[in-house]
Amino acid sequence: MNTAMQLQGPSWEHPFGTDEYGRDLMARVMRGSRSSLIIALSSVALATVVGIGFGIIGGYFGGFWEFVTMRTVDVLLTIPPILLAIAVVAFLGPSRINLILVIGFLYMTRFARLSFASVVQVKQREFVEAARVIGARTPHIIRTAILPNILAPIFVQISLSLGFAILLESGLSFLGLGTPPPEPTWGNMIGVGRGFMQQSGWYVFWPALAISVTILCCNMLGDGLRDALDPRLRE
Amino acid sequence: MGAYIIRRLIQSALLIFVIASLVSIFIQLLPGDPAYIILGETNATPERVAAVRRELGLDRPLLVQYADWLSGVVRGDLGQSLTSKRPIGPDLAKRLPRTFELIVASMTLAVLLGIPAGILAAKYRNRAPDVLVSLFSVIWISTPVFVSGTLLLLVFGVKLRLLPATGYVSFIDDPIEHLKRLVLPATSLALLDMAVILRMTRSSLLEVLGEDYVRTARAKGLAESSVLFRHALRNALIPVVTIVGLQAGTLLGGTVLIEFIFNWPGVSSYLISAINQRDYPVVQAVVLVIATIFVLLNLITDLIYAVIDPRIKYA
Repeated sequence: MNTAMQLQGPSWEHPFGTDEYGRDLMARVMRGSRSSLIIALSSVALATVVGIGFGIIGGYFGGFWEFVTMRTVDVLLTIPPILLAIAVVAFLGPSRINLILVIGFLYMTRFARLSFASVVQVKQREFVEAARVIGARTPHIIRTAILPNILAPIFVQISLSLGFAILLESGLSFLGLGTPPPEPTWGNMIGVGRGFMQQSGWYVFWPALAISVTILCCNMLGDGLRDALDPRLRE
Repeated sequence: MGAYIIRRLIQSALLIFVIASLVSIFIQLLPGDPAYIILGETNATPERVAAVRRELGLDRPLLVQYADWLSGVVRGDLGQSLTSKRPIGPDLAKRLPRTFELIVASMTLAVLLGIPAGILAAKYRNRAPDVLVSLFSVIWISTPVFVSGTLLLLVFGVKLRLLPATGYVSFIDDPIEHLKRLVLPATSLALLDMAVILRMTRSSLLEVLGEDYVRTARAKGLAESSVLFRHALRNALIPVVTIVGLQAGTLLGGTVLIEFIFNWPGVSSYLISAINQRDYPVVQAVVLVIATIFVLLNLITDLIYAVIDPRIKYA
């Protein structure tokens, strides 16, 4: 540890400055992207798969299955996500895998509702009926007739959910419930840097900027995809 | 309409019951015995643990404990904290108004600034005010509350020292100081909300301004301000009201982080400290209370929406 290099502002050697141990903030922000992105991508992948599963089961089979899947989603939606995530992670212990499971399960609801609504529409179309008439099995109908026709809004939701997942992950890390230090994440850098704001504001500024810019990109990607995939929604 | 309200009330009550049950079951399933937490590592001999378990009623069957807790909740008794040994109800009642104050203050701020900014952007579409306002909304929609909270704290509390950084002073003790300490947390919470309201007002107003009756109003020679405020705005605000209601729920979630950052002693910070101390009854009670508020907010939004938009079917 180099005490002379603690909590420095930006310089040529350390473009973002240094932290309380004299470590380079730019390197830590870059390394922090790993944690945020791995968790965001895995949890959204989980959310997409589970959510589409819920939506198709509920939408295609209806009745009892609709009740089970959609009411589960309703219950999950009645608690603010951050609250549920804090409660679960606090008790299960903070680790990357727990974060992925919690965030994935929370955002599954968006995909479930979205695909449920599409499936209910698509299953009434003639080609689904035609497939059934020629004797296709249910898994085959779902794979070839239903799935390809519900994917467009799902893609939009994936990119928007990435933003939300990063938001939630960084919020949890900020509270000390994310990937534990010394592994840097944007959230825990802000959480730790908060204690050194008197000495150096740069410590919290850079990870804050990284979070905002990344979420901004996810949102813009989502908006762009929506315009490209659904011309009716164009302003 | 009456039937619709009754149906929604029953649905909400059921939902709250389900949440209460799930929270209770979930807490039972978690590892960690409250008796060990009360006694601490060193004092936890098997005999003492058994005694504490008997005292707390934890040796009874789970179903009995659940029924007991539920009947307590119905009677308004939320149980007792493991760490402070005080009843939870009064502690929560003291903290709830503080959280509400935060939510109401930031919602007021967001509506008062968001709607006029949205109108401005729609009126000067694609010109300087629109570009500026839209840029603001894009940035704040992408910024989590804890990031804006930390940055505001850094700039106004630490660097410029314009406002006290953190902490809470009761309104009765010192009204001015109380309001000073409310500014930063309320603003941090309001920014995202404001951006959402602004965006909604803008797009909704632009849509309405393209309608035939607005052209008619202009054609018969009404002043532009009259067209905008008397004719267009009224219809444009319907979706904005829904968004404001939905955002109230988001704000409730946002208070979790904001209360933590600014040391605001509300419901959410109670939850965080309870989680850290493994105070299960408190966690159970707070999650139940917050979920109930959330469900009620959604209910109120739906009802308001049904009242102001005659196109909604109540069936």
